[in-house]
Amino acid sequence: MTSQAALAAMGTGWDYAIIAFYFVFILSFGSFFGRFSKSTRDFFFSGQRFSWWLIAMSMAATGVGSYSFVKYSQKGFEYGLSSSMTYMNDWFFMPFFMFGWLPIIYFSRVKSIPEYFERRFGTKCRIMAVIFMLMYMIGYIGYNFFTLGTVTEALLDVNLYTAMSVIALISAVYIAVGGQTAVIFTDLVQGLMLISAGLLLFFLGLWYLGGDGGLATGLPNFWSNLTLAQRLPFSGFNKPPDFNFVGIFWQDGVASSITFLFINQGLIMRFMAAKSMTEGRRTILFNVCLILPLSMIVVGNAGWLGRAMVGMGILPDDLDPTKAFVTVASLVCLPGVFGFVLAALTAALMSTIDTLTNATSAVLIYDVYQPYIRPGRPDRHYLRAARLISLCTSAVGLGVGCIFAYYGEDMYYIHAKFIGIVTPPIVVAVFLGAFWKRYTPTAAFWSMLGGGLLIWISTFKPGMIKPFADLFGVGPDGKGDYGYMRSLFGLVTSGAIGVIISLFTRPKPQSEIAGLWIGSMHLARKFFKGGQPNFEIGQKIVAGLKMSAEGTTRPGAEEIRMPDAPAHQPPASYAVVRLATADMERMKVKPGDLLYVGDSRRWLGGLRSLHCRAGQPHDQGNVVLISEEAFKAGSFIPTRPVRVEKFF
Amino acid sequence: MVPEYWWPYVYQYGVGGAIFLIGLWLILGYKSCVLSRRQDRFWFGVLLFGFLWYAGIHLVWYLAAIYINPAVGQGGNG
Repeated sequence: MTSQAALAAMGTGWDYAIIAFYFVFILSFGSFFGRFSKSTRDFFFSGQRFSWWLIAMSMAATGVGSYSFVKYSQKGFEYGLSSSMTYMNDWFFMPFFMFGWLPIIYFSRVKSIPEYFERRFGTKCRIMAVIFMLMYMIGYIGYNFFTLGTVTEALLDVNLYTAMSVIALISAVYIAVGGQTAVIFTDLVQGLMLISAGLLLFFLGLWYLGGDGGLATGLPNFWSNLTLAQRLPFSGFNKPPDFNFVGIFWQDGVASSITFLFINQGLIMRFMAAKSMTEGRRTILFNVCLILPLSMIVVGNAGWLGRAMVGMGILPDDLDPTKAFVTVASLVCLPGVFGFVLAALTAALMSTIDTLTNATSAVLIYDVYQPYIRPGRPDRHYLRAARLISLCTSAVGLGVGCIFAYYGEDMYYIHAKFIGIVTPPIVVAVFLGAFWKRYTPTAAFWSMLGGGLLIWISTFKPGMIKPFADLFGVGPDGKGDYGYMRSLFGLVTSGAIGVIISLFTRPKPQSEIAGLWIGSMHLARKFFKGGQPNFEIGQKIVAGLKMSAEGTTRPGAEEIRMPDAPAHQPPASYAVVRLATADMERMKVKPGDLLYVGDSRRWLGGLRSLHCRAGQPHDQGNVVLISEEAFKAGSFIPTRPVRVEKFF
Repeated sequence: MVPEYWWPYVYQYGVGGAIFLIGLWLILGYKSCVLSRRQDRFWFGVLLFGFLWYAGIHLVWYLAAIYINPAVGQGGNG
């Protein structure tokens, strides 16, 4: 069957049925989790209760947008396996993340990146960060709507605006009802779906290349029909200008990796949803070492297969690379399977959109509504506002998607240019703020403003970037620009401004930035617990739950502020539960230690659980005494035993 | 002379390795990672493992790209 004939066969009844089923399932599944969002902390951070595997799998879906399939298949078709470069260069910043940024955000309980700017640098920097981030995130939501609408229109002949509206409606409903918990659980399903669809496509493609010989012939055929350059994991060192290794190393391996790890609000919220910092570390380990290499295969394989098909004479050499994904998918998939692949494409979009919508709502609530519009209201007021703002964010995102659809590539170019201008200065400000005590608020402000301005000017005068490009022998692209080297230029200029101004201005006193930079992590842990950490290693226990008001407290009943904590650090506030004396000895727990009490069924991933503080021991056997309010807050089930572990 | 197609590998793990080492130096210097603590020691080992994991994957990939070619039976087809 030719590719044209195969394309004509797409959009069968089976395909439509599978996509319709998928939409109904995701809507109901996401909405189910509304019952677990009882506060803004639940709505945006899922009550900080989830296990690493749940968060890691949901991050797989978030990291892959619908455009990823099209973009990386295109690169795979043009350059072969080196399309994988951007997925395989994130490890170098892991020491900074695992032992620096992650403990800072987790223990300081910052709720958004702009809030970190407020606490570390002051209000001016926060406002600038809010403006930049909202423009970036809402633009990105619109762009994702637009790319999915385009693909759906091309494949199923559904009107672009109709496709965008249906997706917007479904995601808006389950995000507004279920918040972050719904986002994490739907993304878990969607992550599994898009990874299995991508791998299935690769498998079917290899099978197709093998003809009657199946996989045993398909794999050698695939490999031998790529040239050496197409088989290597990296592109040419400094050429071609639009896809060279050294430019991508600085743009993606350095600037985008720091952006992904340090200023991605959606990602930060995922880590804040982890039950502990150790779970956060497990999440990033699993994500970077396993999920990213898998994602690289999932998004790029259609292009690789297409390139091998050209070598075998199945596809023409002059095939439009942007159509590589659609052409290969339509060629190797049967009706029904194609519907599954398309549903996975939708899953990739929806999981990116829901994360961005939830993250944008968090910034709007915590950095705009709560401090400036309606301060001092009870939490239930902010929860209602959060649901409403989620709906509004989806509507605005859809509107921006329509603008993208109307103006097409010009709008994409403007958005990409905007991201390229604002990202390096924010990255520099966060990075220096977290790792250099001497970095001052004035320097942070001018790093962002001055750095952003210089990058903006460089878009008109690309010659400013030439010295950086010359260092690595990278030439200009067809438009005379040095797009890939702009990130390096932005990082160096913003960093230089920050360092020079810091040397001539006064830093914040150490007492005000305790817990917000890497040298104060011992204090951050103490502020988080509300007491000295206990690092003695004990066992985990399984026990029954018993409601009791004697010696236990509800969540939020007590607030402990350490005397040396800065004013902006939220107090430690946990429900007090009581363990049996024998259990406390086994666990090496002392009264006041931080505990995690969760349903003993591990597969729930922490859905029914609560952070608590250990109270005085009791002698009523192997049970955990807990207040009625704490029992409800943890969504526990009376007959189910719980697993208890000590944090520190 | 190292063939040009190896330059990206050397650069990625040379410059990337330098960034990685600066990170290790910072977290140890500021005592965010305390090696006398068992848990920190474990995660420090994980950091080193991750670096070797990626360097290893890319090395094997390079060797496969250069030396495995089922159709030709030897070398790459350039």
